[in-house]
Amino acid sequence: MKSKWITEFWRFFQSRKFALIILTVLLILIVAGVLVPQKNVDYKIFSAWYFYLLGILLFINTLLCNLKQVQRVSKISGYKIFTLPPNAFQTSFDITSAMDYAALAERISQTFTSWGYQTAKKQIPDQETVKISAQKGQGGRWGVIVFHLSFLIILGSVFYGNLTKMEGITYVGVGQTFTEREQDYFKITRGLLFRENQHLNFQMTLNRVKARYSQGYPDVDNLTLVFRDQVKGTTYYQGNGENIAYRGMRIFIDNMGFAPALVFTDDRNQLIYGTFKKIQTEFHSENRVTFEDQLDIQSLNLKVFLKFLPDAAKKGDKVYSKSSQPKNPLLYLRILSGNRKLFDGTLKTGAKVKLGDNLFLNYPEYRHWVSFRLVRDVSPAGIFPGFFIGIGGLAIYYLRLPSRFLISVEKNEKGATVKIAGYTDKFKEVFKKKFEHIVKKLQQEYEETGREGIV
Amino acid sequence: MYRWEVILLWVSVSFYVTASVLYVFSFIFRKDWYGKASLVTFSGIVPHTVSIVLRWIESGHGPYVTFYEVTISDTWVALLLFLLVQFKYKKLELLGVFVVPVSFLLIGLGVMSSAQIYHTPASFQTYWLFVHIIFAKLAFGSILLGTGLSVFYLIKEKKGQFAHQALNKHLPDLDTIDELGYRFIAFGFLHLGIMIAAGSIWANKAWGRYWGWDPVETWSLISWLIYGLYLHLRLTWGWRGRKSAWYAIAVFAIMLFSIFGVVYLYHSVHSYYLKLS
Repeated sequence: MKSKWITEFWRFFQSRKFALIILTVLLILIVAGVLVPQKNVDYKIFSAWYFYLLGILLFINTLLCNLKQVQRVSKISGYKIFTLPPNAFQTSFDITSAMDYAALAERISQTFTSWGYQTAKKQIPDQETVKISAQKGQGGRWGVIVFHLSFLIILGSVFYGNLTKMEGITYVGVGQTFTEREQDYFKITRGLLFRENQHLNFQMTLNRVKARYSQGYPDVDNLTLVFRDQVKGTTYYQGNGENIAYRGMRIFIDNMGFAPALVFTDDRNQLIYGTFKKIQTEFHSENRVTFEDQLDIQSLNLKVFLKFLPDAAKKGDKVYSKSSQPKNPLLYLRILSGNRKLFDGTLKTGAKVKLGDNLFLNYPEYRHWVSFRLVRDVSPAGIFPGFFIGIGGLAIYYLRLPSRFLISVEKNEKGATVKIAGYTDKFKEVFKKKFEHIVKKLQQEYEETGREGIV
Repeated sequence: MYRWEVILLWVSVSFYVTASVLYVFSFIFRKDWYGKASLVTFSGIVPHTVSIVLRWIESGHGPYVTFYEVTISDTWVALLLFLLVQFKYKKLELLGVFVVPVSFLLIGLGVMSSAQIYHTPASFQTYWLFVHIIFAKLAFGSILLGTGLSVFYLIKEKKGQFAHQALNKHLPDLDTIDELGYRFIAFGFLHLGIMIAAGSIWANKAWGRYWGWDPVETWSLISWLIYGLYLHLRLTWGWRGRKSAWYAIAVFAIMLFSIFGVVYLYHSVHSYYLKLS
């Protein structure tokens, strides 16, 4: 009883019906996921355990279904007499000939062989009838198997990639060096199997960048990076930020902005505090990007509000930036000490302002900063070949038409009656034309004395 | 050049209006004007093609950046596919009753949005984008034809032996309609798959991720899955004829939404390409 239940379960587990159920549930979850915004909610469907579980079930089910299909298709042989379903196309015609029906059957079998069919022939015992089976294009059946194999490759690569991947974001100013290690990332996401000691520990120095915002996206005109590590030595990159790949890691430019140097000195010009403050870039719409931030200097009890205007212009009393390109850069600052306003105005590079009796602010220069996204993900190495295999599978499926014919040659008083049945499991309309064409060719080849219409 | 582009598009629109009226009139009042309607549709394709070419030259990129460009080029592919299919299957003229008015309405939607030219950043100019776009258009065109066949399957089946002459003269038998509808949808499914694959390769190249559950991506996957289900339902549960036709018609709305509707509702990386204003 128990074993029957297990057998039934196993049969269902590897059935196409189960695949349909999984696909339907996945579909419902995906629709739910796209209808409920997935950002800033606890209920993230696409990374939930049950979503992965369904993926794993689909993987196992597809694998088992495919194995079953392989078994089934490899059993199909054109060298054995087979039967056809009752809905096969059928017709018959008579051949008037002095030849024996068996010799005629041999000729028909040879004709099919010359057309590239695999054939088998059998004399029916106690009857003056010979049966011939002919089949071609069974490779078309492998198309679906290949397509599902690609699906397995893609799903497998996605799972493995998600387990081993790493993605991190880092902010680097011009002249700064980033080391590829856990603590140097601003934000990092890791797969379950990625360990901290798998970081590559190379150094990346941002030497130069010329970038701007173009229609809402950071567009880099020129970028120079220097990579240093013990494996490859020193490597230079110069380009527009596209396709930066280093030791299996892909590097993308995520954002860009400006970092003004703020140097606080005393009346003897001695440094009290200095920093390159990376001002946040905020994207509002494709034509509006702002560069605003705040800096708390606790040692000096100062609060600094910063606004960088790369392409400053004046409209009445209002100062604004015409674009994100640093054509006429101005730095707007509001500096408070407690509730007391020490400074409120704009500065050009090289400016120096007195904030108090013994406190000066110097603004010698500004630099660009770039945020890089570093990605290590091996899954594309499986996914993309998987796509091509899948397309290949579908191409085989569509281009190869499996055709099966069952011909029976029966003796009659004038020669023989040829009964012919043809079957395919797809594109029946295309096959119908092929069937008619083959019957016509056969009739032309042998003497035609009569023909019934195709049923 | 822009002036000529707009003039030619409106010329083609006027041809499509005429063709739509001719198709619908022929169908309702049982007139045999389908040949004339197809000829008028063909006359519309010519200025439509020139208009797209002029825009391509002027913008420096293919017609896929703005909503306007997407609608005019998607409908161009669909109508061209419809006319080409007529060469092969003479008995499919009646399909124009569905395909031409739907295309005309979509062009109308496109024309109502901004025709302003936007330029794409250099980092987005890759041949994978081209493959992605081409197959998206082919998928839409073949699924539109497949859905149209499903509609006429149901009409012809409902009329049964009382089907008027046009349904017999300008459409094949029910089995052939069912088979052709399935083949067009299967063809569209294949193209949708290639579109998603090419988009994924492009996204990986541009942003370092092959999949990001972006709304447009996700809706494309939903479309692909529902058409995958359509194929499985035919194979596994033998859904043919009426059931299959109803399914194809019902899910076509999702397909339309994923191509033309998503960008209205969501902010997506694809919004860059489908600027609405």
